[in-house]
Amino acid sequence: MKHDLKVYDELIRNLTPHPENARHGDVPRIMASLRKLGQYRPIVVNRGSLTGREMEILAGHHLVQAATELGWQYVSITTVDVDDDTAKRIMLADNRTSDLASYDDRLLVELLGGLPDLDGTGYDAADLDALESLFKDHAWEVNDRELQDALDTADEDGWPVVKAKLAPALHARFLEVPGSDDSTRVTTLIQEWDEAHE
Amino acid sequence: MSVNVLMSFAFWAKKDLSEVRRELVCGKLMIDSGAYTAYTSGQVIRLADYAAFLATWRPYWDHAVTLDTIGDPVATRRSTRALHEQGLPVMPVFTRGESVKEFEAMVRDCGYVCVGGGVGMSQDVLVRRTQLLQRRAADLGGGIHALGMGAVGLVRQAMPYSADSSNISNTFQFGNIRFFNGQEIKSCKANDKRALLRNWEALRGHDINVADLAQNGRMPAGEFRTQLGQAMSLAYASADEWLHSVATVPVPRGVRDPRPGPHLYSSISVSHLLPGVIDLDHKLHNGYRPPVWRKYGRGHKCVERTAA
Repeated sequence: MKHDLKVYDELIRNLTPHPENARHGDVPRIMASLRKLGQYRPIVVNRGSLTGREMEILAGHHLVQAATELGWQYVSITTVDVDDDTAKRIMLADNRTSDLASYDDRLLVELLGGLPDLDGTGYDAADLDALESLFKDHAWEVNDRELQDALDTADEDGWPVVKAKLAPALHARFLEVPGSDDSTRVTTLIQEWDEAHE
Repeated sequence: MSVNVLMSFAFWAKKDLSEVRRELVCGKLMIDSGAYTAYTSGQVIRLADYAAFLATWRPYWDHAVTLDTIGDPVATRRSTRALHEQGLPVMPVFTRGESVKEFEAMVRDCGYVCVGGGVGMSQDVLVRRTQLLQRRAADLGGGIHALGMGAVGLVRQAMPYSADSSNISNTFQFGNIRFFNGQEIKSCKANDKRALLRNWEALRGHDINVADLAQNGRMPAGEFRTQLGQAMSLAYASADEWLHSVATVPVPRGVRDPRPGPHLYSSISVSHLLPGVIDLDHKLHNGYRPPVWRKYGRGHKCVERTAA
Protein backbone atom coordinates (compact mmCIF):
# COMPACT_ATOMS: atom_id res chain seq x y z
CA MET A 1 0.00 0.00 0.00
CA LYS A 2 1.43 3.38 -1.00
CA HIS A 3 0.00 6.73 0.07
CA ASP A 4 0.52 10.01 -1.69
CA LEU A 5 1.88 11.99 1.23
CA LYS A 6 1.84 15.75 0.97
CA VAL A 7 2.06 18.05 3.95
CA TYR A 8 -0.16 21.09 4.28
CA ASP A 9 -1.68 23.23 6.98
CA GLU A 10 -5.26 22.57 8.08
CA LEU A 11 -7.60 24.31 10.48
CA ILE A 12 -7.76 22.35 13.74
CA ARG A 13 -11.51 22.77 13.90
CA ASN A 14 -11.83 20.76 10.68
CA LEU A 15 -10.18 17.71 12.29
CA THR A 16 -12.07 15.02 14.23
CA PRO A 17 -10.53 12.65 16.81
CA HIS A 18 -10.94 8.95 16.03
CA PRO A 19 -13.67 7.67 18.38
CA GLU A 20 -11.73 4.49 19.20
CA ASN A 21 -8.34 5.95 20.00
CA ALA A 22 -7.17 3.99 23.05
CA ARG A 23 -4.01 5.96 23.69
CA HIS A 24 -3.54 8.36 26.61
CA GLY A 25 -0.80 10.92 25.94
CA ASP A 26 1.01 13.39 28.17
CA VAL A 27 -0.48 16.62 26.80
CA PRO A 28 1.45 19.07 29.07
CA ARG A 29 4.78 17.61 27.92
CA ILE A 30 3.72 17.83 24.27
CA MET A 31 2.68 21.45 24.87
CA ALA A 32 6.14 22.17 26.29
CA SER A 33 7.70 20.56 23.24
CA LEU A 34 5.50 22.53 20.81
CA ARG A 35 6.37 25.77 22.57
CA LYS A 36 10.08 25.14 22.32
CA LEU A 37 10.39 23.23 19.05
CA GLY A 38 7.19 23.86 17.13
CA GLN A 39 5.51 21.08 15.15
CA TYR A 40 8.13 18.98 13.37
CA ARG A 41 5.98 16.03 12.23
CA PRO A 42 2.61 16.14 10.44
CA ILE A 43 -0.61 14.76 11.88
CA VAL A 44 -1.93 11.76 9.91
CA VAL A 45 -5.55 12.29 8.89
CA ASN A 46 -7.98 10.01 7.05
CA ARG A 47 -9.79 11.93 4.32
CA GLY A 48 -12.81 9.67 4.89
CA SER A 49 -14.17 8.95 1.40
CA LEU A 50 -14.25 5.22 2.32
CA THR A 51 -15.51 5.56 5.89
CA GLY A 52 -17.99 8.37 5.56
CA ARG A 53 -16.27 10.25 8.39
CA GLU A 54 -14.30 13.23 7.08
CA MET A 55 -10.86 14.33 8.30
CA GLU A 56 -10.51 11.85 11.12
CA ILE A 57 -7.17 11.84 12.99
CA LEU A 58 -5.27 8.55 12.90
CA ALA A 59 -1.93 9.60 14.39
CA GLY A 60 -1.20 12.68 16.47
CA HIS A 61 -4.33 13.02 18.63
CA HIS A 62 -2.47 14.44 21.58
CA LEU A 63 -0.41 16.78 19.47
CA VAL A 64 -3.67 18.28 18.16
CA GLN A 65 -4.99 18.50 21.73
CA ALA A 66 -1.81 20.25 22.87
CA ALA A 67 -1.89 22.66 19.92
CA THR A 68 -5.53 23.50 20.74
CA GLU A 69 -4.57 24.17 24.37
CA LEU A 70 -1.86 26.51 23.12
CA GLY A 71 -4.43 28.40 21.05
CA TRP A 72 -3.12 27.32 17.66
CA GLN A 73 -5.62 27.38 14.81
CA TYR A 74 -3.64 25.38 12.25
CA VAL A 75 -1.52 22.25 12.34
CA SER A 76 0.47 20.57 9.57
CA ILE A 77 -1.14 17.39 8.37
CA THR A 78 -0.71 14.69 5.80
CA THR A 79 -3.64 12.63 4.57
CA VAL A 80 -4.45 9.07 3.62
CA ASP A 81 -7.73 7.73 2.31
CA VAL A 82 -8.34 4.31 3.80
CA ASP A 83 -11.23 2.11 4.89
CA ASP A 84 -12.25 1.65 8.51
CA ASP A 85 -10.22 -1.50 9.05
CA THR A 86 -7.00 0.03 7.69
CA ALA A 87 -7.62 3.24 9.63
CA LYS A 88 -7.79 1.28 12.89
CA ARG A 89 -4.66 -0.67 11.99
CA ILE A 90 -2.71 2.52 11.22
CA MET A 91 -3.82 4.01 14.54
CA LEU A 92 -2.82 0.88 16.48
CA ALA A 93 0.47 0.38 14.64
CA ASP A 94 1.51 3.99 15.17
CA ASN A 95 1.19 3.59 18.94
CA ARG A 96 2.37 0.03 19.21
CA THR A 97 5.57 0.41 17.20
CA SER A 98 6.57 3.26 19.46
CA ASP A 99 5.75 1.15 22.56
CA LEU A 100 8.01 -1.62 21.36
CA ALA A 101 11.04 0.57 20.89
CA SER A 102 13.68 0.70 23.63
CA TYR A 103 16.63 2.91 24.48
CA ASP A 104 20.33 2.66 24.82
CA ASP A 105 20.17 4.31 28.26
CA ARG A 106 23.83 5.24 28.33
CA LEU A 107 23.61 7.10 25.00
CA LEU A 108 20.37 8.71 26.11
CA VAL A 109 22.02 10.09 29.25
CA GLU A 110 24.91 11.45 27.18
CA LEU A 111 22.51 13.03 24.70
CA LEU A 112 20.39 14.69 27.38
CA GLY A 113 23.41 15.69 29.46
CA GLY A 114 24.97 17.37 26.43
CA LEU A 115 22.09 19.83 26.00
CA PRO A 116 22.19 23.22 27.74
CA ASP A 117 18.67 22.58 29.11
CA LEU A 118 15.91 20.00 28.80
CA ASP A 119 13.18 22.31 27.50
CA GLY A 120 10.92 20.67 24.97
CA THR A 121 12.66 17.27 25.09
CA GLY A 122 9.88 15.59 27.07
CA TYR A 123 12.38 14.92 29.87
CA ASP A 124 12.70 16.88 33.09
CA ALA A 125 15.47 17.16 35.67
CA ALA A 126 14.02 14.29 37.75
CA ASP A 127 14.07 12.02 34.68
CA LEU A 128 17.69 12.89 34.01
CA ASP A 129 18.63 12.36 37.67
CA ALA A 130 17.04 8.93 37.63
CA LEU A 131 18.83 8.00 34.42
CA GLU A 132 22.17 9.37 35.56
CA SER A 133 21.94 7.50 38.84
CA LEU A 134 22.02 4.29 36.82
CA PHE A 135 25.51 5.05 35.63
CA LYS A 136 27.06 6.76 38.62
CA ASP A 137 30.55 5.64 39.35
CA HIS A 138 30.44 3.60 42.51
CA ALA A 139 34.12 4.05 43.22
CA TRP A 140 34.88 6.25 46.17
CA GLU A 141 37.26 6.26 49.07
CA VAL A 142 36.08 4.44 52.17
CA ASN A 143 37.70 5.51 55.39
CA ASP A 144 37.86 3.25 58.45
CA ARG A 145 35.70 5.50 60.58
CA GLU A 146 32.92 5.63 58.00
CA LEU A 147 32.95 1.85 57.57
CA GLN A 148 33.00 1.20 61.32
CA ASP A 149 30.08 3.64 61.83
CA ALA A 150 28.08 1.89 59.12
CA LEU A 151 28.74 -1.51 60.72
CA ASP A 152 27.85 -0.24 64.21
CA THR A 153 24.59 1.24 62.90
CA ALA A 154 23.82 -1.98 61.06
CA ASP A 155 24.58 -4.10 64.12
CA GLU A 156 22.06 -2.16 66.17
CA ASP A 157 19.46 -1.89 63.43
CA GLY A 158 16.44 -4.12 63.38
CA TRP A 159 17.21 -6.43 66.30
CA PRO A 160 14.02 -7.50 68.06
CA VAL A 161 13.30 -5.73 71.35
CA VAL A 162 11.85 -8.00 74.02
CA LYS A 163 9.73 -6.57 76.79
CA ALA A 164 9.15 -8.77 79.82
CA LYS A 165 7.06 -8.17 82.92
CA LEU A 166 8.79 -9.64 85.95
CA ALA A 167 7.60 -10.00 89.51
CA PRO A 168 9.74 -7.87 91.87
CA ALA A 169 11.50 -10.87 93.37
CA LEU A 170 12.36 -12.32 89.95
CA HIS A 171 13.51 -8.92 88.73
CA ALA A 172 15.80 -8.65 91.76
CA ARG A 173 17.29 -12.02 90.87
CA PHE A 174 17.61 -11.00 87.20
CA LEU A 175 19.68 -7.99 88.30
CA GLU A 176 22.00 -10.34 90.18
CA VAL A 177 23.02 -11.97 86.86
CA PRO A 178 26.47 -10.64 85.91
CA GLY A 179 26.36 -8.08 83.11
CA SER A 180 26.35 -4.36 82.49
CA ASP A 181 22.88 -4.18 80.87
CA ASP A 182 19.72 -6.24 80.33
CA SER A 183 20.86 -7.56 76.94
CA THR A 184 24.08 -8.92 78.43
CA ARG A 185 22.14 -10.49 81.32
CA VAL A 186 19.70 -12.21 78.94
CA THR A 187 22.60 -13.48 76.82
CA THR A 188 24.37 -14.78 79.95
CA LEU A 189 21.23 -16.56 81.11
CA ILE A 190 20.67 -18.19 77.72
CA GLN A 191 24.29 -19.32 77.52
CA GLU A 192 24.08 -20.78 81.05
CA TRP A 193 20.86 -22.56 80.08
CA ASP A 194 22.45 -23.92 76.87
CA GLU A 195 25.48 -25.20 78.79
CA ALA A 196 23.27 -26.83 81.43
CA HIS A 197 21.24 -28.63 78.74
CA GLU A 198 23.99 -29.68 76.33
CA MET B 1 25.16 -14.57 33.21
CA SER B 2 21.88 -15.93 32.20
CA VAL B 3 20.51 -18.11 34.97
CA ASN B 4 22.39 -18.23 38.27
CA VAL B 5 20.93 -20.59 40.82
CA LEU B 6 21.36 -20.76 44.58
CA MET B 7 20.49 -24.13 46.10
CA SER B 8 20.37 -24.80 49.81
CA PHE B 9 21.68 -28.05 51.27
CA ALA B 10 18.75 -27.94 53.72
CA PHE B 11 16.39 -28.48 50.76
CA TRP B 12 18.53 -30.36 48.27
CA ALA B 13 20.65 -32.75 50.35
CA LYS B 14 19.65 -35.66 48.10
CA LYS B 15 19.91 -33.84 44.76
CA ASP B 16 22.28 -35.00 42.05
CA LEU B 17 24.01 -31.73 41.18
CA SER B 18 25.51 -33.14 37.98
CA GLU B 19 21.96 -33.09 36.53
CA VAL B 20 21.61 -29.43 37.43
CA ARG B 21 25.01 -28.58 35.97
CA ARG B 22 24.16 -30.31 32.69
CA GLU B 23 21.32 -27.87 32.09
CA LEU B 24 23.16 -24.73 33.11
CA VAL B 25 25.21 -23.67 30.10
CA CYS B 26 26.88 -20.64 31.60
CA GLY B 27 24.71 -19.91 34.63
CA LYS B 28 26.50 -20.26 37.94
CA LEU B 29 25.55 -22.63 40.71
CA MET B 30 26.02 -21.54 44.30
CA ILE B 31 25.38 -23.78 47.29
CA ASP B 32 24.59 -22.68 50.79
CA SER B 33 23.77 -24.71 53.83
CA GLY B 34 20.29 -23.25 54.30
CA ALA B 35 21.35 -22.34 57.81
CA TYR B 36 18.79 -19.61 58.23
CA THR B 37 15.91 -21.84 57.10
CA ALA B 38 17.21 -24.59 59.35
CA TYR B 39 17.53 -22.16 62.24
CA THR B 40 13.96 -20.90 61.87
CA SER B 41 12.52 -24.40 61.45
CA GLY B 42 14.48 -26.12 64.18
CA GLN B 43 16.34 -28.34 61.68
CA VAL B 44 19.92 -29.27 62.53
CA ILE B 45 22.56 -29.27 59.81
CA ARG B 46 25.64 -31.29 60.66
CA LEU B 47 28.95 -30.01 59.38
CA ALA B 48 30.03 -33.51 58.37
CA ASP B 49 26.90 -33.99 56.21
CA TYR B 50 27.30 -30.61 54.55
CA ALA B 51 31.00 -31.27 53.92
CA ALA B 52 30.22 -34.68 52.39
CA PHE B 53 27.61 -33.11 50.10
CA LEU B 54 30.01 -30.40 48.94
CA ALA B 55 32.82 -32.91 48.40
CA THR B 56 30.60 -35.28 46.40
CA TRP B 57 29.46 -32.57 44.01
CA ARG B 58 32.64 -30.46 43.97
CA PRO B 59 33.05 -30.54 40.17
CA TYR B 60 29.58 -29.18 39.64
CA TRP B 61 29.18 -26.14 41.89
CA ASP B 62 30.88 -22.80 41.31
CA HIS B 63 30.66 -21.32 44.80
CA ALA B 64 29.65 -22.62 48.19
CA VAL B 65 28.95 -20.80 51.41
CA THR B 66 30.28 -22.03 54.72
CA LEU B 67 27.97 -23.55 57.34
CA ASP B 68 26.71 -20.42 59.01
CA THR B 69 25.76 -20.79 62.68
CA ILE B 70 23.21 -18.03 63.16
CA GLY B 71 24.19 -15.65 65.93
CA ASP B 72 27.54 -17.34 66.56
CA PRO B 73 30.34 -15.92 64.39
CA VAL B 74 32.96 -17.94 66.28
CA ALA B 75 31.25 -21.24 65.46
CA THR B 76 30.84 -20.09 61.86
CA ARG B 77 34.57 -19.34 61.59
CA ARG B 78 35.30 -22.78 63.07
CA SER B 79 33.15 -24.41 60.39
CA THR B 80 34.87 -22.39 57.66
CA ARG B 81 38.29 -23.51 58.88
CA ALA B 82 37.18 -27.13 59.08
CA LEU B 83 35.76 -27.05 55.54
CA HIS B 84 38.89 -25.36 54.18
CA GLU B 85 41.01 -28.06 55.86
CA GLN B 86 39.00 -30.63 53.92
CA GLY B 87 39.92 -28.87 50.68
CA LEU B 88 36.50 -27.26 50.22
CA PRO B 89 36.97 -23.61 49.18
CA VAL B 90 33.85 -22.29 50.89
CA MET B 91 33.14 -18.61 51.24
CA PRO B 92 33.25 -17.28 54.80
CA VAL B 93 30.26 -15.36 56.15
CA PHE B 94 30.63 -11.94 57.70
CA THR B 95 27.70 -11.06 59.90
CA ARG B 96 26.47 -8.65 62.55
CA GLY B 97 28.73 -8.06 65.51
CA GLU B 98 31.97 -8.74 63.63
CA SER B 99 34.62 -6.06 63.20
CA VAL B 100 36.15 -4.40 60.16
CA LYS B 101 39.40 -6.21 60.95
CA GLU B 102 37.64 -9.57 60.88
CA PHE B 103 36.06 -8.67 57.55
CA GLU B 104 39.39 -7.66 56.08
CA ALA B 105 40.98 -10.87 57.30
CA MET B 106 38.27 -12.87 55.51
CA VAL B 107 38.81 -10.93 52.28
CA ARG B 108 42.59 -11.39 52.49
CA ASP B 109 42.15 -15.13 53.08
CA CYS B 110 39.43 -15.89 50.58
CA GLY B 111 38.79 -12.91 48.28
CA TYR B 112 35.09 -13.58 47.82
CA VAL B 113 33.14 -13.20 51.08
CA CYS B 114 29.46 -13.56 51.94
CA VAL B 115 27.84 -10.81 53.94
CA GLY B 116 24.84 -11.90 55.97
CA GLY B 117 22.88 -10.64 58.92
CA GLY B 118 20.73 -8.31 56.85
CA VAL B 119 17.44 -9.76 58.08
CA GLY B 120 15.48 -7.07 59.89
CA MET B 121 17.85 -4.31 58.83
CA SER B 122 16.27 -1.17 57.35
CA GLN B 123 16.90 -0.72 53.63
CA ASP B 124 19.03 2.40 53.94
CA VAL B 125 21.29 0.81 56.53
CA LEU B 126 21.52 -2.41 54.54
CA VAL B 127 22.47 -0.58 51.34
CA ARG B 128 25.06 1.59 53.07
CA ARG B 129 26.64 -1.34 54.87
CA THR B 130 26.77 -3.41 51.67
CA GLN B 131 28.20 -0.53 49.61
CA LEU B 132 30.98 0.14 52.07
CA LEU B 133 31.88 -3.50 52.58
CA GLN B 134 32.00 -4.12 48.81
CA ARG B 135 34.17 -1.06 48.39
CA ARG B 136 36.56 -2.11 51.13
CA ALA B 137 36.67 -5.66 49.77
CA ALA B 138 37.43 -4.33 46.28
CA ASP B 139 40.28 -2.22 47.69
CA LEU B 140 41.76 -5.49 48.95
CA GLY B 141 41.18 -7.27 45.63
CA GLY B 142 38.05 -9.05 46.80
CA GLY B 143 34.29 -8.74 46.58
CA ILE B 144 31.16 -9.68 48.46
CA HIS B 145 28.05 -11.74 47.98
CA ALA B 146 25.11 -10.07 49.73
CA LEU B 147 23.12 -12.95 51.20
CA GLY B 148 19.36 -12.57 50.77
CA MET B 149 19.66 -8.97 49.61
CA GLY B 150 16.56 -9.48 47.52
CA ALA B 151 15.32 -6.48 45.60
CA VAL B 152 17.09 -5.63 42.35
CA GLY B 153 16.75 -1.93 43.20
CA LEU B 154 18.77 -2.49 46.38
CA VAL B 155 21.40 -4.47 44.51
CA ARG B 156 21.68 -1.62 41.99
CA GLN B 157 22.20 0.90 44.77
CA ALA B 158 24.57 -1.18 46.84
CA MET B 159 26.44 -2.83 43.94
CA PRO B 160 27.88 -5.93 45.58
CA TYR B 161 29.75 -8.33 43.27
CA SER B 162 26.81 -10.69 43.68
CA ALA B 163 23.58 -11.13 45.61
CA ASP B 164 20.78 -13.63 45.86
CA SER B 165 17.22 -12.68 45.57
CA SER B 166 14.27 -14.02 47.45
CA ASN B 167 12.98 -17.44 46.76
CA ILE B 168 10.93 -18.07 43.62
CA SER B 169 9.32 -21.03 45.39
CA ASN B 170 7.96 -18.82 48.18
CA THR B 171 6.51 -16.51 45.58
CA PHE B 172 4.52 -19.41 44.16
CA GLN B 173 3.44 -20.51 47.58
CA PHE B 174 1.80 -17.13 48.13
CA GLY B 175 0.18 -17.11 44.70
CA ASN B 176 2.41 -14.41 43.23
CA ILE B 177 4.10 -14.14 39.86
CA ARG B 178 7.32 -12.21 39.47
CA PHE B 179 8.45 -10.25 36.45
CA PHE B 180 11.14 -7.74 35.56
CA ASN B 181 9.93 -4.28 34.51
CA GLY B 182 13.26 -2.79 33.53
CA GLN B 183 14.09 -1.42 36.98
CA GLU B 184 12.88 -3.91 39.53
CA ILE B 185 11.46 -7.40 40.00
CA LYS B 186 7.78 -6.80 40.57
CA SER B 187 5.10 -9.25 41.56
CA CYS B 188 1.39 -9.55 41.09
CA LYS B 189 -1.19 -12.00 42.37
CA ALA B 190 -2.12 -14.73 39.90
CA ASN B 191 -5.79 -14.34 40.85
CA ASP B 192 -5.88 -10.54 40.61
CA LYS B 193 -7.25 -9.79 37.14
CA ARG B 194 -6.71 -6.05 37.49
CA ALA B 195 -3.06 -6.54 38.35
CA LEU B 196 -2.68 -8.98 35.45
CA LEU B 197 -4.25 -6.45 33.09
CA ARG B 198 -2.10 -3.62 34.43
CA ASN B 199 1.03 -5.67 33.85
CA TRP B 200 0.01 -7.72 30.83
CA GLU B 201 2.65 -6.23 28.57
CA ALA B 202 5.49 -7.03 30.98
CA LEU B 203 4.06 -10.48 31.75
CA ARG B 204 3.76 -11.31 28.04
CA GLY B 205 7.36 -10.19 27.68
CA HIS B 206 8.22 -13.15 29.92
CA ASP B 207 6.17 -15.52 27.74
CA ILE B 208 3.49 -15.77 30.41
CA ASN B 209 0.10 -16.62 28.97
CA VAL B 210 -1.88 -13.87 30.65
CA ALA B 211 -5.18 -14.94 29.09
CA ASP B 212 -4.94 -18.47 30.52
CA LEU B 213 -3.94 -17.10 33.88
CA ALA B 214 -6.81 -14.63 33.98
CA GLN B 215 -9.30 -17.33 32.94
CA ASN B 216 -7.98 -19.75 35.53
CA GLY B 217 -8.27 -17.19 38.29
CA ARG B 218 -5.71 -19.00 40.43
CA MET B 219 -2.16 -20.29 40.43
CA PRO B 220 -2.08 -23.11 37.86
CA ALA B 221 -0.80 -26.62 38.45
CA GLY B 222 1.32 -29.07 36.46
CA GLU B 223 3.09 -28.14 33.25
CA PHE B 224 1.85 -24.56 33.26
CA ARG B 225 3.26 -24.10 36.75
CA THR B 226 6.67 -25.24 35.53
CA GLN B 227 6.42 -22.74 32.67
CA LEU B 228 5.60 -19.98 35.14
CA GLY B 229 8.64 -20.94 37.20
CA GLN B 230 10.70 -20.61 34.04
CA ALA B 231 9.18 -17.22 33.27
CA MET B 232 10.08 -16.02 36.75
CA SER B 233 13.61 -17.28 36.34
CA LEU B 234 13.70 -15.30 33.11
CA ALA B 235 12.86 -12.21 35.14
CA TYR B 236 15.97 -12.74 37.29
CA ALA B 237 18.15 -13.54 34.28
CA SER B 238 17.00 -10.34 32.55
CA ALA B 239 17.51 -8.29 35.71
CA ASP B 240 21.00 -9.76 35.97
CA GLU B 241 21.83 -8.64 32.43
CA TRP B 242 20.32 -5.22 33.06
CA LEU B 243 22.48 -4.78 36.15
CA HIS B 244 25.59 -5.46 34.04
CA SER B 245 24.54 -2.81 31.58
CA VAL B 246 24.32 -0.08 34.23
CA ALA B 247 27.47 -0.75 36.25
CA THR B 248 30.38 -3.08 36.66
CA VAL B 249 31.86 -4.51 39.84
CA PRO B 250 35.35 -6.01 39.65
CA VAL B 251 35.80 -9.77 39.85
CA PRO B 252 37.07 -10.82 43.30
CA ARG B 253 40.40 -12.57 43.58
CA GLY B 254 40.09 -16.32 43.18
CA VAL B 255 36.86 -16.23 41.13
CA ARG B 256 37.50 -17.81 37.77
CA ASP B 257 34.64 -16.18 35.87
CA PRO B 258 36.08 -13.27 33.85
CA ARG B 259 32.79 -11.36 33.74
CA PRO B 260 32.48 -8.49 36.20
CA GLY B 261 29.49 -8.19 38.54
CA PRO B 262 26.96 -7.57 39.75
CA HIS B 263 25.53 -11.08 39.44
CA LEU B 264 22.11 -12.01 40.62
CA TYR B 265 21.24 -15.47 41.91
CA SER B 266 17.73 -16.76 42.44
CA SER B 267 17.21 -19.41 45.04
CA ILE B 268 15.05 -22.45 44.44
CA SER B 269 13.72 -24.75 47.11
CA VAL B 270 10.92 -26.70 45.43
CA SER B 271 11.67 -29.65 43.17
CA HIS B 272 8.87 -29.14 40.65
CA LEU B 273 10.16 -25.65 39.81
CA LEU B 274 13.79 -26.58 39.33
CA PRO B 275 13.50 -28.25 35.88
CA GLY B 276 11.89 -25.18 34.33
CA VAL B 277 14.37 -22.83 35.94
CA ILE B 278 17.53 -24.59 34.84
CA ASP B 279 16.11 -25.55 31.45
CA LEU B 280 15.78 -21.83 30.74
CA ASP B 281 19.55 -21.40 30.57
CA HIS B 282 19.70 -24.14 27.96
CA LYS B 283 16.87 -22.64 25.94
CA LEU B 284 18.32 -19.14 25.96
CA HIS B 285 21.56 -20.52 24.57
CA ASN B 286 19.63 -22.35 21.87
CA GLY B 287 17.99 -19.26 20.48
CA TYR B 288 14.93 -18.81 22.72
CA ARG B 289 14.27 -15.06 22.59
CA PRO B 290 11.24 -13.92 24.59
CA PRO B 291 10.72 -10.12 24.41
CA VAL B 292 12.20 -9.37 27.85
CA TRP B 293 15.38 -11.22 26.88
CA ARG B 294 15.54 -9.47 23.50
CA LYS B 295 15.49 -6.22 25.39
CA TYR B 296 17.83 -6.89 28.31
CA GLY B 297 19.76 -9.98 27.32
CA ARG B 298 21.14 -8.71 24.04
CA GLY B 299 24.50 -7.90 25.64
CA HIS B 300 24.81 -11.37 27.15
CA LYS B 301 28.36 -12.64 27.07
CA CYS B 302 28.47 -16.38 27.31
CA VAL B 303 31.33 -18.08 29.10
CA GLU B 304 30.46 -21.73 28.83
CA ARG B 305 31.04 -23.56 32.09
CA THR B 306 32.01 -27.18 31.86
CA ALA B 307 32.19 -29.40 34.90
CA ALA B 308 35.74 -29.50 36.24
